[in-house]
Amino acid sequence: MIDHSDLVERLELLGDAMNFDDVDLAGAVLVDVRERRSRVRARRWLVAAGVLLVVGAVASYPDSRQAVARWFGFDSLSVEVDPELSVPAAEGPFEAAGPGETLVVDVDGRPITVSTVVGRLNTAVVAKTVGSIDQIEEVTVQGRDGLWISGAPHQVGYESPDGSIVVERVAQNTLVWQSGDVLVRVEGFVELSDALAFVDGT
Amino acid sequence: MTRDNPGLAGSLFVVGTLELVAVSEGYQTVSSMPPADLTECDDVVLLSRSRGGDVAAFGELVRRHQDAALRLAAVIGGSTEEAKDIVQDAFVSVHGSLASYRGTGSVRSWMLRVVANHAKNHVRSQTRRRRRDDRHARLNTRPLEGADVLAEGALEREALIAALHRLSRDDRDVLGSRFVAGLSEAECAEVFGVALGTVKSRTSRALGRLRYELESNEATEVRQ
Repeated sequence: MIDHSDLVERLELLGDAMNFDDVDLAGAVLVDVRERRSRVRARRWLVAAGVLLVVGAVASYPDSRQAVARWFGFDSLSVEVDPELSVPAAEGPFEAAGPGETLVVDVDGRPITVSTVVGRLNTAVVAKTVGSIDQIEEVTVQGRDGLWISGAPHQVGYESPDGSIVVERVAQNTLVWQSGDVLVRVEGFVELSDALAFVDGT
Repeated sequence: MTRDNPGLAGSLFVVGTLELVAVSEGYQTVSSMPPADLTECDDVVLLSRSRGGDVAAFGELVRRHQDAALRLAAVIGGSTEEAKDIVQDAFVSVHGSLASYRGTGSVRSWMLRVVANHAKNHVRSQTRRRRRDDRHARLNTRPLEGADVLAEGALEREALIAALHRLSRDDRDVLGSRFVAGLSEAECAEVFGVALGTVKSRTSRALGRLRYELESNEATEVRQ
């Protein structure tokens, strides 16, 4: 009969036996940070060039928030973390009226919204605002970088065909990724694994 | 639907001006050894300095917690070989998220939580690739004992690893995190986002299931 203290000892020995003595991650991590930062900086400048087009109109709003904790982005999507964000949930699935197509499909009785937005290269066409970094998970979708945004309601804004900024408040979990110039959104799955399986057609 | 919403517009304004306050370049050199004073700093101080662009401070954070992170990634990901890549990517993400640390838990737990999420994503990705294949544990270990007990120790570890991988994901994660990676119960609770009581009860149940798996395996071997 194996008792629990014996099991704990065996598990601790297993940990001791893992061989990471020769691993020094600090150098590799800092090099990656530097390279990533350079890429992000270049991309941010390009995105900022598009965003600054609306700065004149924006600057007139007195309640502009100054607290941005974290910013993610693709060519045609920006995601910002705003700890002050507090939005009510939207009723029903979100259908983007922007350039692209939206399709609502039934998956096991649950409405799933699939939409594509044709993004102009290096321009933020869609912007999201979430309340916590914990709502964002960086994922790989069919070999491409994507984001899984889950948890509390989040805010989505996009540039409509007439050039104005349209805002929706979205309640459901969203998988989003960039495929070429097209931004793809899948909204409505509870679990990331189910969303990824849906995308993979499995 | 709201047009020209001032809340979003305000956000865009900040995004647009973000570059104006971007921190200066701080990566002229990458040292493998931290300055002596950094080793005396606690994690919160290191994180604060990292936010201000102090690369050496972030390097010290990495150095300080990489061992637990590597073990955690190995037990969740099921592979010591892939643990290094998982942790490296995770720590790069941590650096990109420094501003989001709210101080509600320890810096170490916050970093390890990111590692755990990366490891889980890795498993999901691997599982899709190997949907029709059994996923075998690849936890490579080194001998700790002398040659006379080497074979026995290796067999015991193999049996333990195999038993761990017959457990559910939750059971394996909690046992691996607590005892293989050496996290405290409180750290496990923060890393997996569950209550402390849940960690305690899950640990107890998981140990029971692990014992069952090991004893069942031993009984099978005796019969053979």
